[in-house]
Amino acid sequence: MEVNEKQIYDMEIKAPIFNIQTLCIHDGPGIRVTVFVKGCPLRCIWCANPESNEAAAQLMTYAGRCTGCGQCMDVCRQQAIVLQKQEGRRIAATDHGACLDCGQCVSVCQNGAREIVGKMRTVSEVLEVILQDKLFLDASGGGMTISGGEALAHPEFSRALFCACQRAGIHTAIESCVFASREVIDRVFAHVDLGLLDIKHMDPGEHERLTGVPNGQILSNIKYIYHERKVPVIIRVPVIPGKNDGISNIRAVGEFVSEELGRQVPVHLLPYHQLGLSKYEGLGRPFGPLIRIPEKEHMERLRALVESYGLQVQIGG
Amino acid sequence: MEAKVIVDKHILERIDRTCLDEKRLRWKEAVKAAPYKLHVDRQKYATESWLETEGEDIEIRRAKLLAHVLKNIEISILDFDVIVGRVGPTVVGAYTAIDTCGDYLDGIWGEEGRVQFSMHDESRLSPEEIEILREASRVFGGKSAADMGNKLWADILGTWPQDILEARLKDPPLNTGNFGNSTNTIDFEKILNKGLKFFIEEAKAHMEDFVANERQGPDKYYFWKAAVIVCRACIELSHRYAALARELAQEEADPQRREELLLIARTCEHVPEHPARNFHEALQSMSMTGICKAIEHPMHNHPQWGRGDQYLYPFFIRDLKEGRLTEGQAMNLLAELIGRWGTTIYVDTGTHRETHQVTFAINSINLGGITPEGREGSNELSYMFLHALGLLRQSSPTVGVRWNHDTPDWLMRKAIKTNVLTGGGIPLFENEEGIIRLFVRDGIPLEEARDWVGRGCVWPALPQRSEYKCGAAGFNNAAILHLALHNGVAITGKALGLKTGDPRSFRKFEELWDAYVAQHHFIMHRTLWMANLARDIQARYLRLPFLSAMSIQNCMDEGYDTLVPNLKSEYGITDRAVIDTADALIAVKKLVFDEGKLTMDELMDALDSDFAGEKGEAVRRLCLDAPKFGNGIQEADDMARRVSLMSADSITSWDNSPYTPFKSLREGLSWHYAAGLGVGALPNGRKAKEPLNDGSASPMRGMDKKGPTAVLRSVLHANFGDHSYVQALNQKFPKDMFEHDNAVDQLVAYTNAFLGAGGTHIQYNLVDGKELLDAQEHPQEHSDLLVRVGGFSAYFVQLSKQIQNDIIQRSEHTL
Repeated sequence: MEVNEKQIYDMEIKAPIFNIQTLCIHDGPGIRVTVFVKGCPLRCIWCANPESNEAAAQLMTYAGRCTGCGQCMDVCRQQAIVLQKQEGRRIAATDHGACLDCGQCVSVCQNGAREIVGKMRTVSEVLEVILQDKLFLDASGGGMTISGGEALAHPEFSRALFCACQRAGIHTAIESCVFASREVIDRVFAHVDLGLLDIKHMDPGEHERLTGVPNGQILSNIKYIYHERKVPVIIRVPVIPGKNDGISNIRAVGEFVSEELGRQVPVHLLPYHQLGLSKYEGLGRPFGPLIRIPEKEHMERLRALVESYGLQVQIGG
Repeated sequence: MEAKVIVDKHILERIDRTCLDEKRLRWKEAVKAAPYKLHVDRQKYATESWLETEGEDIEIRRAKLLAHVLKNIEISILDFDVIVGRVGPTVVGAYTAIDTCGDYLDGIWGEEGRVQFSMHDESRLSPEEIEILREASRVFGGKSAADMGNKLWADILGTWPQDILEARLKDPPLNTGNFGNSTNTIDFEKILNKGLKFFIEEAKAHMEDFVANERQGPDKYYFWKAAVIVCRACIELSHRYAALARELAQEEADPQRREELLLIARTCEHVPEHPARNFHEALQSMSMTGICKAIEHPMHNHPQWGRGDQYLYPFFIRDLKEGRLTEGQAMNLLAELIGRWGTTIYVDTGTHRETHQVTFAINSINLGGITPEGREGSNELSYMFLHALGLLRQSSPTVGVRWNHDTPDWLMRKAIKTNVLTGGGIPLFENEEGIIRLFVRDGIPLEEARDWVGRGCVWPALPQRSEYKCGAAGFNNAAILHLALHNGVAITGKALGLKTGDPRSFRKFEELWDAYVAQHHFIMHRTLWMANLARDIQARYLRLPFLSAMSIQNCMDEGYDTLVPNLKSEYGITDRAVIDTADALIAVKKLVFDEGKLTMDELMDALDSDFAGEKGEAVRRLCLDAPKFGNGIQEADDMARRVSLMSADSITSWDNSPYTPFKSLREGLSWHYAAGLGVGALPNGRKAKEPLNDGSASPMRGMDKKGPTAVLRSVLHANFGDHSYVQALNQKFPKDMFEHDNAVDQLVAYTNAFLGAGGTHIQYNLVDGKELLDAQEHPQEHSDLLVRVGGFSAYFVQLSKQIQNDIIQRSEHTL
C-alpha cells in the first residue's frame, strides 16, 4: 500500500492507555518512553500484564496498601465491597463480578489501594508526555515504544502516534505479537523504526493452546515486515518453563530466524518472571497455572543453542 | 579546551582484572569483626602537655601539645599493614577531641563509663581510661574555643543562640568539628614532591628573615616556630614506626613478611621527611601526614584526598612504565589507604551521635575534572581509584566524579559500574562547569577555581583558602517557614523570630511570602553575625599549626594560622529544606488564595492540630494533592526556584566585608530526621516532626509520581545551579535494573544529559533488600519505587507480599 507521508494524521484519535513509563531501558535501544495500551487479541496463559487484556477501563486493587478503613464500602452502589480477614488483618475485598468499574471507591481511598486502570488518551496528549523526555531520548539514542496490550489492536492510534513521533525526530519501536491483518500491518509499520516481535511457540497447535490463537499469520507477518516492509526487527521469545522452553521448540525458533529472516536479526530470550501474579488478584481473576522461573543455567543452554544457528542472542530485553 | 587526554587502554584493561590480595581481604574481614575502640592516650598526653605549657603562646602550646602526643602515643603495625599509620593501635579506633571541643562526652560522667559513637555503637572504658577523659574535661571543659564562643553569644544574646538550636532552626551546635576550618585539604602535592624537610627550611628562612629585617608581628614568628615543631614531630612519629618495623622484623619467622617489614622501615625513614621516590612512598607519606592531621584535631574530617588522581599520577605512571610495580600491586596499595581512611571513626559532639548510623570520619576523593590549565584531567589512576572502590564496597569515603562536557566515556562507564557494585551513591557526579562559573562570579581567579575540590559530602572548596563553615553550616528553611506561620513562635513555644503577623489574617499569598522572607533575613543575618563573632574569638583559644602548614601556602608565606580570620578564606552556608518549604508555600497559594478550597483559618486549625480528626484528615488530603516539586509541574518548580533564589540571596546579601561573601552550598547529609523535629505540620501535607526530604533537591517522599525523568526536569527548570554551588539530588533505582552492560550505557547517557543541561549534582542509590523491606512496611513512603523489567510495568508497593519477598531475595544476591 502506498503511504502518503503528507497525509494529515488525526492527533485527537484516542486509545485506552494504562501507563506511560519513562526511563525504560529494556524496550529497545537507549532510554525510551514506553506507552502501554490496553486490549490484546491473545490470552497468553503467563501474561504479566493481565490488566492489559481488555480494552475497557477496569478496577484494580492493591491489598498490600489497604488498611481496612471501609470508606470504599460506604460509597459502592453495587455493594460489591466487603471487609474480610486476610493474613490476620482486615481488608476491603471486591467482588469484581458485581463491580461496574465506576471508580467511586477509588476517589475515597486514602491509601492508593484502588485504581481505575486504563484511560482514553489522545495522540497529542501522549506525544506531549514523550516530548518532555526528549533530552534523555536524544542523549541515549533512545526513543519511544508502544507496548501493551497490543499496539495493533489500536491501529489508527498507533499509526498516528508513530507518525507524530517520527516527525518530531523520535525513534519509534513497537512491541507486538503481530497477530493482525496485512492491512493493519501495512498502515502501522509504515512508521515503525524497529519491531520487537514475539514468537511464543513455533508449533501452531501449541501456540493456540498457550495463547488462544494459531501462529500461521504471526510467522507470516514477521517475514513480511522484515522482508517486504524492510523494518529492522528483533525476535523476542518469552521463555516459559514447561510451556515453550523445550529444546525442539527453541531449535525451531533458531531455524526460523536464521533461515526465514537472516542471521543479522537478533534474538532476545526473555526469562519468565512471576511479577505479574499479584495483578491477577487485584483484578479478581484466578491465577494462571503456577509456572516456575527458568534456571540461569537453562537460559544459558538455550542461548548457546540459538547461537549455534549463527545468531546474536541476548538474555533479557 | 585541548583535546581529550589519551590514556593507555591496555592499562585500563589490566586494572579491570586486578583483585584485592589475601592481605587486604584479611584486613577487610578484620574490620568487619573489629569492635569500635576508643583510645584515650591521645587525650592523656594532650592534657599533660597543656598543663606543662601554661603561660606560653597559644600557637606554641598547640604545637607542643601535638608533638608531645606524637612522641608518646601507642603505635602498631598489624600483620596485614604495608602502609602504616592509623588512628589508635587497633583495627578500628577513635580518639577524643576534648582539648578542641570541650567537655562533650556526657557518657564519661556516669557510673558505667560508656561512650556512644553513633546510634548503634558504643565503647566501654575502664575506670582508669574514664579518669583520663574526666581529667581532660576538667582541664579543657568550659575553656575550649567553642565554649568561649557560646559564652560570648550568651553574653550578647542571652538564651537565643541555644533556643534556635533547640528549635532546629540551625544545626549543628558550635562545638562540632565543623566549627572553624578543620576541613582544609592537605597539600599532598607539595608534601610528596618536596618533603617536610622543605617545610621546615621554609619556616626557618621566614624566621631568619623576621629577625634580619626586624619585622613586626609576634603571631607570625610563633606560627613559623610552631610549624617547625610540628613538622619535626611528624617526622619523628614516622621514625618511631620505622623502629617498630625493624623490631618486628627481627622477631618475624616468615622471610617474606620480614622483607616487607624492612621495606616499611626504610620507607618510613625516608618519607615524609624527604620527597617520595615512588608510588609506595607517596602513599606512605600521605598516610603519615594524614594521621598527624587527624591527631591534631580528631573530629569529623579525616584528611581529604582532594585530587589524588592528579598529584599521585606521576608516581603511579612512572613505576608502572618502568616496571617497578604491576597494576595489581599499585591497586592494592591504593586500596589499603582508601580502605583505612574510609573506615576511620570518630566521636562526634551532640546530636550527631544520636542520629547518625555510623560515624565514619568524612573524607572525600575527587576524580577527573579540569586541571588549572584547562585540560580534562581524567587518567588511568582515576580509573584505578574507581576500581579499588568497587572492590572495597565501603560506605565511606565520599567519591565525586568532576563532570564536565569532556569527561571521557570510559571514566563515566567505570563510574556507573562502580556505583552498581557499591550500591549507595559512590561515586556521585558534580557538574564542575557550574561550580567553576560560580567561583569566578564570586571573584576567584579562573585557574584557582578550576582546582576546586569537593570536601565532606559535596562541598566545593578551594584548597588554597581557609574554609570557614560558620561553626554550624545548616539552616532550616522549613523551620523558618514555621516561624512565619506562627507569628515568630517556634515549635518549642518560644518566640524566636520576628512578629510578622497572625497568618489567619493574611489576605494575599504575598503577605505570607513577605513574612517568610522577613523571618529568613532575621534568622540568617543574626546567626551569620553570631558565627563571625565566634570565628573571631575562636582563634584566641584554638590553633591548628600542623593543618595550617600542611594545607595553605599563604599561611606559610605570611605566617598565620588557618583559624585566624584572614582575607584568603571562604564562607559557606547550607540552607536546607528548600523543597519542603516550596511545596508548603505552593499548597497555601493554590488551596487558600488561588482556588479558595480552604480558608487560612481552616488550614491553620488543621496544621495546629497536626491534621487531627476527620476534618484535619480532609485538609491533609487536599494538601497532599496540591502540586509538588519533582513532577515537572511548572508552578511548583517555579516556587522551588523562588525559594531557592531568595534563600541564596538572603545569605549573600549579608555584609561580610572585608572577607568574601557567604555562599550557598546545599549538601545532603542525613540531617533530615533531626531537622524535621523542629517543624510542625506543613501545608504540603507533612505531619509535625516527621523527617524532611533527604538531599537538597529531592522531592517530598512518595510525591514524585511521574518517574525519575520528571524529577530531573523539575530540577533543571528550577535551575538551582544559577545561585547555589550544589543542590544534592539522590535518585533510587532497583539494583537489578543495571545487570546488563547496556543498562550501564543508558545511565551514563542519562547522567550526561542531566548534567549537560545544567544539573549541579546527582547520585544514585541502587536499592537493596533492606530498603525494599522498608518499602514493604511503609508503602506510602516508597510509592515511587518502580520494578523494571522489559514490557512489564508496576510499582513495587503495588505488588503482593509474596512477590515483593521474591524481589527482595533477588536483589540480595544480584552481586
